[in-house]
Amino acid sequence: MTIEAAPLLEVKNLSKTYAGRGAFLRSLMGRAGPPLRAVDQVSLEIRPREIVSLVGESGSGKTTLGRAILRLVEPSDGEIRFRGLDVRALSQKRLRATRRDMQMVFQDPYSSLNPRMTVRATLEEALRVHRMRPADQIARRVDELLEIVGLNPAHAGRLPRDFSGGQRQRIGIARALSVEPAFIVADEPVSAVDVSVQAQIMNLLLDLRDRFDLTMLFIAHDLSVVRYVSDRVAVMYLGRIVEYAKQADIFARPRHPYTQGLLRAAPRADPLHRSTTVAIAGEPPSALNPPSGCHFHTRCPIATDLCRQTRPLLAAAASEHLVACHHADHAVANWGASAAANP
Amino acid sequence: MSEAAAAAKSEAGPRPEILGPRFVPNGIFVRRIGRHGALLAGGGMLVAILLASIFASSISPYDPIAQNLRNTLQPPGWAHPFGTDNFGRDVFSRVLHAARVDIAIGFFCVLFPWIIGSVVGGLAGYLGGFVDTLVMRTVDTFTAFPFLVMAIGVIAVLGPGVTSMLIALTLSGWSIYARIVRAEVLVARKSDYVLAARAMGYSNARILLRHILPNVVTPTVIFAVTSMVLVILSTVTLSFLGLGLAPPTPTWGTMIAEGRNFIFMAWWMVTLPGLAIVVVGLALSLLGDGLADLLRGQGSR
Repeated sequence: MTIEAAPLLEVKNLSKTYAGRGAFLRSLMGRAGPPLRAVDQVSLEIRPREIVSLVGESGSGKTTLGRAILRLVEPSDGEIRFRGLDVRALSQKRLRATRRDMQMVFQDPYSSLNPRMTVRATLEEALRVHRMRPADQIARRVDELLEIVGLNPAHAGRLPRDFSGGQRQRIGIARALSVEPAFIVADEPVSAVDVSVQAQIMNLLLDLRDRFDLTMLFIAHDLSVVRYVSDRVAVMYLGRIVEYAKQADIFARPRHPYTQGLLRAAPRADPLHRSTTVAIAGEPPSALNPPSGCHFHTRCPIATDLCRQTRPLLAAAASEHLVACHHADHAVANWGASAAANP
Repeated sequence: MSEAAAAAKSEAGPRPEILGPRFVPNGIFVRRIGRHGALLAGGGMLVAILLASIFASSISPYDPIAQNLRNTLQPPGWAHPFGTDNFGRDVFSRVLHAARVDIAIGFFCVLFPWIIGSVVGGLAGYLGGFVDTLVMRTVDTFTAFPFLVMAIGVIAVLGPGVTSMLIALTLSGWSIYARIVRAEVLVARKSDYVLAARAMGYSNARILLRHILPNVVTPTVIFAVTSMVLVILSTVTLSFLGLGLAPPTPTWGTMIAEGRNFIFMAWWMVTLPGLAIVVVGLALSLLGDGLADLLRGQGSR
């Protein structure tokens, strides 16, 4: 690839900090509580038509990052550029217009639809507010959208409670598609639905990407899902991105000890395989009081004093492979050795 | 009705075992009536009362304000089912005509506080911050004010009459709706469907009116129906104190106020208008309970 496509979305040093619990009272007494850094100086680039997965444990800041990019939570610091447009500088009014291009699919298909609006009302509202179609074509467009996501337009008059979880997730996707966005943040769109429905929803998202040239940030914690949908994968730990590479590279040659641990922890569909090592020792530390230096050093098998003192920056370790680890070379050598011993 | 339901149940009981599950819908039907029993009973009573009050002029045997001084303080009988009062007026006709006034006042004295309180409470909950503080402290002030003191104050300034009564009851009633709606909005504001509406780029007004309020009005509607009884009682209190409508117009409150002087000679003058209030109260309570069951079922998954 000689000509790099300009990124559709650029995130630079984005942070979201929540004031500590009881911060107001404590600041009156001169002792501010520790702030919670949900997202800690994250940088990320997403190219057009790309599906980037964001993985990490719960509490790692994935959802906050996704929402901060759309300014559904107001970032504390950093830069967001969408097609070169400075999203953080937009006024509320301009931001509302820009929402057309940047949409969201929610994790919980039960709570993310207004329980008192029929499917038709939900979709019509989006089409009307953003003037997507002339008034006389809106009804037909609603039918079209439902067909696109694989629902029967005859059911448009029903309320969300009349649909199953998978169907509701399709309604949520239709709502996001109604405004014809370029970019969609899909926040664990398959975590709350049945395993049998997960594949259908993922295939739908992949189809839609091809059909409408969508770009997606796909938030997930299930590696098998990530492997299936993504072009590139970003791994998050305690508010920071620790590794960002092509999907094949992440799964074949992970360079961060945390990514390696995640992969080792993932269940394999091999009844003869017996896991011999503990994938990642210990519990994730509290985000209120994260470890110094590299956040992962408390659980890392190859941590040194350097890791305890200095934060490793996300840097290129190979072509298109960013990793934030002082000992990435050592880690990747370990992985190669264990892969050779344990094919 | 309960006998019929019990009979149907005992009949439906053994059937599924013999004829299979096809006969279950019958049982469900019986249970459904049972579930909506309060709603149907309350609604039915209220409709009957409303019809009686609307057609009061045709139903009532006498003119409610026509005096017949030769026929005073007659006990209930064939000629006067509820007896006559100290001016010889037919108590039954007066109770029917009073229903019209009392129910209308009760309705509007709930409607205005409900609308004002819901909008103000909705704004406070949605906008938060300074607006919220300002509104809620105002609500506290109004809640702390004794109802009768406020009512007497308003009526002293504006003079007795329907309008003053409406203003007094609106001033004292809106704050509780504001509280209920604010609390519900605080919950709904954090919900995913509101976040989704923000992600769609909808305006604050649209989110509040189309997405939040429809999902939070249920408890206020139930409260409004139930509290209509209390509002009617308040209007009765005001009328009793002479702060309501001018004497010739019959209201239940003024009838009780006038009758209390004759309570040992003519119990029907006080008791029967009082019974009318009890019946309306019962109807509204049943309706409120039934609505609560119905609407709560609707909001769930």
